[in-house]
Amino acid sequence: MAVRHRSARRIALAVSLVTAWVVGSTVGTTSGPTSARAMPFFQIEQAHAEHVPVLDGSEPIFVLLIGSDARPGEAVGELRADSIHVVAINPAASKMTIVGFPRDALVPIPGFGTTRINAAMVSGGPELVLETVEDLTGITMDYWALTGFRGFDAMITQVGGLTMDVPFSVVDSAAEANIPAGRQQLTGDDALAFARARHALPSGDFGRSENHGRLIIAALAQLKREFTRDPSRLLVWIGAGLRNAQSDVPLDQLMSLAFTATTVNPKRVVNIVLPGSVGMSGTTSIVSLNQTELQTISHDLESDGLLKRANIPPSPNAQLLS
Amino acid sequence: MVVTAPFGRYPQRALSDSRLAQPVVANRAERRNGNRKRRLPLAVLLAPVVLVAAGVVLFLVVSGGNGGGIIGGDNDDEAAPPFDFRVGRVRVERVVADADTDALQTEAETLVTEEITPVIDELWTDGFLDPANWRQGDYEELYTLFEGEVATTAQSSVDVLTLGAAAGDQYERVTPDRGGITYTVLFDRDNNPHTVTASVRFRATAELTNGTFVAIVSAGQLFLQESDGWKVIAFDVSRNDRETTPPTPAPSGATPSATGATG
Repeated sequence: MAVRHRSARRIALAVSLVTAWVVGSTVGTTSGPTSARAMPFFQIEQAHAEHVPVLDGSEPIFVLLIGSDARPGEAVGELRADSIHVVAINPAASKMTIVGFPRDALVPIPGFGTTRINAAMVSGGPELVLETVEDLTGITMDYWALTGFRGFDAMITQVGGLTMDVPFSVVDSAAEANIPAGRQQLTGDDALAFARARHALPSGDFGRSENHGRLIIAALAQLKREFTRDPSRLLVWIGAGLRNAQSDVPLDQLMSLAFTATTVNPKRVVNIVLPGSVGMSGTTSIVSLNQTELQTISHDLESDGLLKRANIPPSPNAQLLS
Repeated sequence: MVVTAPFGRYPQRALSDSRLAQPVVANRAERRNGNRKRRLPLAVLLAPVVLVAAGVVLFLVVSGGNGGGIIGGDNDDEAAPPFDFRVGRVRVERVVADADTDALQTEAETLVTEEITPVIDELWTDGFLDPANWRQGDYEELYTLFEGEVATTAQSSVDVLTLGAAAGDQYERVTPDRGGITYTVLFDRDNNPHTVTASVRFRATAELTNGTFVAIVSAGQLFLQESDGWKVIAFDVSRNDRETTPPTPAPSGATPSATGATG
């Protein structure tokens, strides 16, 4: 009888909140470890009580990832949101799109006039960041997730570090980053340094925002790799995420999201940063978003979580990648 | 028709077996006279033979003989070989940071022993070992162990999760060799078991109808959650059969059995 190799796989539908837990981006400087038992490192919640996320694969899933400037010991949800990304997952296509928002983007914040987007969380917590982004894009989010320095570091450490193909060396003393180019295993501290570094990047915060997307993709790839080799690793990632998390999202939904994350092909993730022009308002650096591109990208993304090739802006790190 | 099935598998042996044949008498007249003369005593002499033959037929009817049952043409009464997976490592994952890990470990081990492993035993027994299923290619009871829509996918994966829809035509018997499981148990925010992953390895030896043997090798991962009993919510299972040598003959005096092996 001929040797037979057959397999059957049935993975329930899902998304990449597990990934989000691990790579929620952060900026700023680090300080020594503190007792953090009292406050969660990470929070994930359903965006709207009246809007039940559809997790059966028939619709795209939108997740707002917020990286707080909070240092260890500080309240994650009360400081500036220095990293803001919309992650759109199209489960049917096994694809994901990551859209970064420059932290200095001048945008209308409901109830607070037009100011830099990173101030929204100081004024109204993650809920106001959510409202701001939804108003800006017209996209209704399914979930939001928030983390700070410690949560970011801890979660990467607890899953054993992050394997990443760093496309260019990142040396930035302000971020304590000294990361050579090439495929390597990043510790939680390394990943945090990579996420914070912007002075070494020609496009500054635009380039850093794109690097946050790279961390998300690396985490996604690692989750998928580990899941393929040993599906029970999914539970390890969920455990690592939730042990440091605050969330009212039912575990079943989180499981479903995690399963969905494993179905996304990391090589087919589109990672962009909203284009804009840098300027000054007094002594404050500001970014004026390109409104035409903002509307085009938002409209394109809303329908299926995907971007047409023509709507993908050039990489802010193109100079380093060439 | 059904009765011929066992003989059909061994035609030469069946046709050459002459232990029950009567001695040939050359002279027809002598045979007639002799028959007439010994009619009553011969009937008496043949009675035990008839009884033995009837017993053999009855045995075939009840047991299905070498695989071809008579009643209804199935083998409903042919028992599945007893088989139990060996449980290896049980790992605990918790979402509550300060949970009592020792207590969770104990609870996890009790859970997998008492509730999960019996489900896995049943999955592989129903799928690969129970002749009542594989001889008919009917594994309906197996699919009840899968949750909701996953059961539909399981049905479409019949050739991986079971011996196969046409196994009755291909296999003569299946004997389990060994099986092992390792577990990871995820506890929820209330420290109740929420999801269990089972990493399963299973091997059996099957004799095909052509007399050759194959090792049935099945391995994979199952995700289980409790929903009116613990059920499979996701799976990733592969089957990798390969040719193998016939099992070592049983010690002298032992009776080979199609269903007597254990895990």
